[in-house]
Amino acid sequence: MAGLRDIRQRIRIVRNIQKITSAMQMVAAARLKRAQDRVGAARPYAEKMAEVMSNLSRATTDISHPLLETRDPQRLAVVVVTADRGLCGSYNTNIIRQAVQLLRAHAELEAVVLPVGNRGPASFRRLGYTVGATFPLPSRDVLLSDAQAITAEVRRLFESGAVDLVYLVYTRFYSALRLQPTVQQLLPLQTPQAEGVATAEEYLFEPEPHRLLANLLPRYLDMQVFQALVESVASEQGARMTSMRSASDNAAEMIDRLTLSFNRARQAAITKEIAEIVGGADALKG
Amino acid sequence: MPDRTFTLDIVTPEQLVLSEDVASLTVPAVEGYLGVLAGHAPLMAELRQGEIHARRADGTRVAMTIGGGFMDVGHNHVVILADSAETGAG
Repeated sequence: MAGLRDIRQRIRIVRNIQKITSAMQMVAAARLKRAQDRVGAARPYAEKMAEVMSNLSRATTDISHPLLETRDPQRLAVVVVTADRGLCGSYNTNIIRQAVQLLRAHAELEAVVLPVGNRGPASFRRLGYTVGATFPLPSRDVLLSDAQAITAEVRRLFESGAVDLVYLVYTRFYSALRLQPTVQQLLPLQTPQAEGVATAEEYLFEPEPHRLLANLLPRYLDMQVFQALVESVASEQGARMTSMRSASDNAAEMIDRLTLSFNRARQAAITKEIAEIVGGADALKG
Repeated sequence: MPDRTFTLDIVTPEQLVLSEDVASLTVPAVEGYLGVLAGHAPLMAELRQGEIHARRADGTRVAMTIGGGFMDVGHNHVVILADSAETGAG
């Protein structure tokens, strides 16, 4: 049996770890709340944007724009949104696995990975994939400009013909317990299809449709990436909160077990001492 | 007779800024300021940076400053997708 001092030492260590994990859990819970609000706040814009897009595609018959151009795919770019840090359970593993699955499905294409967040680049390099531009995932609130940095690079690749297909892999946030790694095609852009029959209503455009579209489509792309970033951040905090809670629970369980063996060891030592004294007294009686 | 009203939604990527019934609206379109009243024909316009002025049916006014965006005028429903929006005129 381990010495009393050793056991006491281990209890102290585990207790310190528990302090850290439960603090992290609380921080994640607070950040999750904030991130969740952001997800909710970003939704109306996304919905309205989709509405406007479908109105526009219903009103104009021949839509042509570089971002809509479908080419015979030869090269593929995959934007993968991971976390900046670890200690969030299987969050990063899951999203990377999803991305690898996508890359395997398109094994015949030349692929480049554009990781967002610090956790991505090293993993993809180790797996033998080409890594292109990397982007940080700020620990402050995600801004539209963060999304625009990504879309600028993606558009450059697509419009110059360096890639023909762009996918976005991120974690959809349904609830703190339900996170879904998701694959979405970014380019060529898929416009939301107009529902129902085309209305006879003549739309007025200012400026003319193709110029309007030229300005609207990039915004639509920005918004999709922005939405993905916001959802990913919420997912990350949710995953961290859950994993830190189970780490704290495990630590509590470990402390219980260690305390039990500490008490047993202490009792055994006392019993042994008594036995020795009694033995000694008996010997004196002779 | 009260003015006829229509719904005005102003949204930015970060939040829904405004959703109200208004009687008239003036927006900074790229080709000049544009007025919208209830029953306006379907219109899609690009907006530049500038001020939005709206008047409610009771005559009170709403002013916002936006940083460019798009406006979709549908059937008595106007949606403004703004890059940014602040209450008040600059």
